[in-house]
Amino acid sequence: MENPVIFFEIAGKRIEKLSAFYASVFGWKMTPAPDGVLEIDTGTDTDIQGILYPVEDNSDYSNHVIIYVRVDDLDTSIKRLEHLGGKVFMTPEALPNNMGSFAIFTDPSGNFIGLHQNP
Amino acid sequence: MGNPVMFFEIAGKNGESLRDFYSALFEEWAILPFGWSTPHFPNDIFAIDPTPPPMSDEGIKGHIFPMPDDMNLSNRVSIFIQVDDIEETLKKIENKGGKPLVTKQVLPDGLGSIAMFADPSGNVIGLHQV
Repeated sequence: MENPVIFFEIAGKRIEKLSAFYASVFGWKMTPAPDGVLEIDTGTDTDIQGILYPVEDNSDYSNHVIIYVRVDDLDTSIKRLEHLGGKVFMTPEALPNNMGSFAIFTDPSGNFIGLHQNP
Repeated sequence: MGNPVMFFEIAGKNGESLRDFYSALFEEWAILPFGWSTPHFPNDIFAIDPTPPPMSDEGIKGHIFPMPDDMNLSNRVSIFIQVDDIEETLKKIENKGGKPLVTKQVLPDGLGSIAMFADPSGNVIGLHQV
């Protein structure tokens, strides 16, 4: 079973400002997606894809970077990571447009890491 | 050329326990010591290849970075964006509201150079120049 790192997320409040920053420094193109998310086109197909994610103003944290690891089965991975000292931060949720489902956990150092399961 | 995201970093104070966690969670990940250090990277770094041969080479590679004990930050996840010229990019970052955090560092073994910056939201992101 392969577990490649296939996706990234950069999150922050005031996403317009964040979007303008990445667009002007790196030439990335952003396309609006559901829920205020902006899809990132880095201008090459040699890398992984990503999004800018808007953090709500009243959220108790301000920003994060997350990488997503593809797994065969979210529930199996969650059981295993809990056993190993990780914690589930967000239980599995389906993505729109048949894009699979995802969950987020924290590792023993407190890093947020995403899991993604294909449909 | 575009500016692709080519590398990831998972950092924490206790590198070895992080290595053990990810080795056990994702059994196919190859996590091995880099075998070198520089003045800027005094600790042993573990290289991560999530899809070692003979697997597909889908996705990106990364490393586990043991945070120095005196660093006032306990952990982070970061990604590295490939650029043509780190110094030019750092200037641009400063002009656009970001903040350079680590100036250009040359890596050993012809691995290129890196730098780190904070974006306007405070996310710490790396730059890599081949």
